[in-house]
Amino acid sequence: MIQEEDVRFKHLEKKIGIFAAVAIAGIIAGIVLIGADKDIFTPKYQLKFTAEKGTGFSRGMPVKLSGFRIGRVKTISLNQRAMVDIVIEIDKEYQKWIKSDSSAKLVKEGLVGDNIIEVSVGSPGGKVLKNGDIIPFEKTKGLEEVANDIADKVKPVLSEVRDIISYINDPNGDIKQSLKNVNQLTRELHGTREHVDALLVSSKENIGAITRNGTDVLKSANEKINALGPTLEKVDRSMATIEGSLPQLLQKLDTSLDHMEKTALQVQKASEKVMPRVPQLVNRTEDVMEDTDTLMNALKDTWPIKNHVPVPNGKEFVPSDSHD
Amino acid sequence: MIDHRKVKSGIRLLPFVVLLTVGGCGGKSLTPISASRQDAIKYNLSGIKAEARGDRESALVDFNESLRINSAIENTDGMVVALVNISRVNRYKGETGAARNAVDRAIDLITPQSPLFSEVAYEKSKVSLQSKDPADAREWAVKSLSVEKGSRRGSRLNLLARILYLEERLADAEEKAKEALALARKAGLREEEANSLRLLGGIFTSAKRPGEALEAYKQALSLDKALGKSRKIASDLRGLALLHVALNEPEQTMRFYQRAYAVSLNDGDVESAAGDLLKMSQLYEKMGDKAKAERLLSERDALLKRSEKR
Repeated sequence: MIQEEDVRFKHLEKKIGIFAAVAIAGIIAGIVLIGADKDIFTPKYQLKFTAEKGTGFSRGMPVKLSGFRIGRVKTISLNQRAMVDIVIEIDKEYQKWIKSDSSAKLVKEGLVGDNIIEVSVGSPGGKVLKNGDIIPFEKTKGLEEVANDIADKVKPVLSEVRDIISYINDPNGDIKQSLKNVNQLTRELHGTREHVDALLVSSKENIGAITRNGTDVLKSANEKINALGPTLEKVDRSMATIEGSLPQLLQKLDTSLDHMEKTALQVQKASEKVMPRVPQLVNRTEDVMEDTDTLMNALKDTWPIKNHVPVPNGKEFVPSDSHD
Repeated sequence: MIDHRKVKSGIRLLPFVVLLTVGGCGGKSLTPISASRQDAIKYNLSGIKAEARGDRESALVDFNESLRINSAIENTDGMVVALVNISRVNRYKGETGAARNAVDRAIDLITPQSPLFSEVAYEKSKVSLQSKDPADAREWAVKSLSVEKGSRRGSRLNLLARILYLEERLADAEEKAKEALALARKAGLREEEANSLRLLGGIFTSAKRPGEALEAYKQALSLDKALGKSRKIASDLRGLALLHVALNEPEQTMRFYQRAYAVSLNDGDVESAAGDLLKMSQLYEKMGDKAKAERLLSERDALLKRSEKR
């Protein structure tokens, strides 16, 4: 029996098997690559924390440590106290840095970035958190809360600014009144200038009268000075008398000073003679005193005097009785 | 030719010559004292004289110099004496802190076996008494008494009795004061005898035994008058005044305060005199004579002002 066989179908089964194997291998490689990219195969552990509100949290949101992604949010659920329990899944390799004093907080990456959970690095001495442990959650202020804070602080300032403006605008207020007064003053200045001009004109006339009076006064003063003439003559005569007797007086004073000078000179000479001998004299006096002391001590040690000399008592106290 | 008359007179003089020679060689020889030590002793004696004159500043200068010299030659006994004297003068001046520093330094320098220990402990007791610490004062008075075997035992006993009296342990105080009185009489220490009697007067007054108190005060007053101790006389008179307070005899009380005031005033003890005026003023006020009470108060103020000016 002749079997007709198309050459294209020769080894068809083999070809299909290889094709299927390659396809399956590709699919597996794709899954592995995607899984590796998504950290599916990395060993992980879970930590928990509780937040007051779930706002800002979402499943799968990244968990970062020092800016590196180390895990993601696994589950978000409402607990019995109406608070939000959040479970985060972290790669096992980062476990060594997350310790009992580490904390998690919800932050924004940049001003308009996505929300992330940032975990702080624990202290070297801290205990490493294990799977299922609770990590403390630090509440951070959201944009809204920050805005409310600023608004609360700005409100009183704005209120004061409003008060100041209404104070300035008040028609009966100090500032409006002051401006009104300045306007009035400016207007009145014109009148004042006219008055000053008139005053200057009348002053000219008055100065003429004052000059005339001054001439009269000078005239009468001249008369008085003329009357003083005889008195001045008397003073002049007295001065002449004093002048006559002054040289004699000065001569006497001069002589006295001469005598004093001579006496001082003599005293100085005498001092110059005596002074060099004074230290010598003092030294000799000291020697004499010392000799006398030695002599007295020797006498004290001589019989029979020594028996009558009291032995100096070095242990004598200031008298003190029981009732002092 | 030999002159027999000269020989005879020579033989007569021979015993005197022998006697003088033997006498000259004999007798006690003085232990030589170094010049520095002599200076230290001189300063100590000079300080004692200055204190006796009432010149306490000079006394302190001298005692400090004595202390310096004794320290320079490491004469511990001399240092202790100087320190006790410094403490005593400071205590008389009312500078209790300085007194305590000095006496504590002295205590550090000696052991209870030292012959000076009794005096140092006695001084320490008095400093503590002035610091109003009777417990410490009693402890040191007992220490001083335990090592004192000589004539000063009476004064130590008197001090202990005084402390016990201040602690209101009247029976113990009486026992010690009587023991002190007997010792003082035996040793002929009239000042300490008067102190014991004055103390007994106070003890008997507190124990409500006025008859014995009066007798003790009278004897103390008589002794103090004989010794011419103005401050002690004033103390006796004040004790008698207090006795009459206890007997509720205001006229007698007033009389004794007046006498105490006069004694203190003439002795220059203004503070005590002012105290007497205050007591008299309070007494007049109690007796209902307000005018006299006020007059005495203004007299007291004037007295204190005069004293401040000086």
